[in-house]
Amino acid sequence: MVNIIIADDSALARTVIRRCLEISGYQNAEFFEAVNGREALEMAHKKQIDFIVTDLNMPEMDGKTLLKFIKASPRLTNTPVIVITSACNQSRIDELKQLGAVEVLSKPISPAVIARVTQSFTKED
Amino acid sequence: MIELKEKFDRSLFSALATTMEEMAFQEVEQELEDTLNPIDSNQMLWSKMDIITPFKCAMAIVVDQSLARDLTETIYGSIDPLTDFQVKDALGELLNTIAGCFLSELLPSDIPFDVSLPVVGEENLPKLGNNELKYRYAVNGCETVLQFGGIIWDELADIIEGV
Repeated sequence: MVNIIIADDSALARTVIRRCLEISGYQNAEFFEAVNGREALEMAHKKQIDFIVTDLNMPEMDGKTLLKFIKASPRLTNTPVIVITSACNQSRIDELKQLGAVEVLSKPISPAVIARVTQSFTKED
Repeated sequence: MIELKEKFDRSLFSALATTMEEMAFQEVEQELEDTLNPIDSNQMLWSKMDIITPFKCAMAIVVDQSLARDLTETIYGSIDPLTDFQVKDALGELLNTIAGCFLSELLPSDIPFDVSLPVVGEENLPKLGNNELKYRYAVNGCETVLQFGGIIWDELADIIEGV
C-alpha cells in the first residue's frame, strides 16, 4: 500500500490531485488529506508516507515551510515532495528544487504530468 | 504602454481559457459586444485576491451562482448534490489558478510572484481599488467578469522589460 499526503487548502484542488494520482496508477493508494502544511507535517510524523504532494500557498503553514521541515527532519528527509502551485515560474521552480522538491508543477495539472513525475516512485502492483 | 496593455489582455484571456478548458472543459469567448445578459447582483458570486509581488493590485472573478455551480459540478464530475462550501471553494481555486497562469504568462520567467489566498463572497463585489479594470467574457454562454483594481501601469512596465 502506497501512502500519499495531499496538502491543499482547497477541497476541490485536493480532489483533482487525488483523481490525477488515481488515474496515473495510484488507485489503491491510501490518501491523507491536509488543509495546510502544519496538518501535513503532523501526518507525515505519524504515518509511514511514501510521498507528499503539496500546494504552495496555504494558511497557517505554506508549502515552502512544509518542504523545509520535511527536508530538515532526519526521518522524513528522503520523502519525496512534489509541489503543485499556481504561483509557478522558472524562478520559483529553481528555488523550490534547491530546497529539495523533486518536482514543481503548475496548476492546472493533468494525470499525464503527475504520472511522469511519479514514475520514479514505488508503485503498487 | 499600448503594447503592455495588449500583452496584459492576451495573457488574461489565455489564462482564463486554459483554466476553464483544463479544469472545467469549458470554452471561453471574448465578449466584444453586449450580447450577454449582465449578472444579476442578487445572484453574483465572486472571489478576489491580491497580487502581492512583484507588483500590487487586486484581482477578482465574478460569475452567476448557477454558472459557479455548473462549473463545480463539471470539475467534481459527481452527481451528489453540491454544498455551498464546495461551490465557493471551487470559485476560489479557479481564481487562484487563473491568477497563476496569468502572471506566469505576463511576467518574465526569472521574476517570482506571490498572491494572497482567495476570498469568496456573494452579491456585489467590494471596490478593488483605484482605476478599476473590467473584462467581460462568456463561459458556457454566461457572463464571466475578471476585474482588477489598483494597477499602477508605470510600475508594471518597469517590471516587464522589452515591452
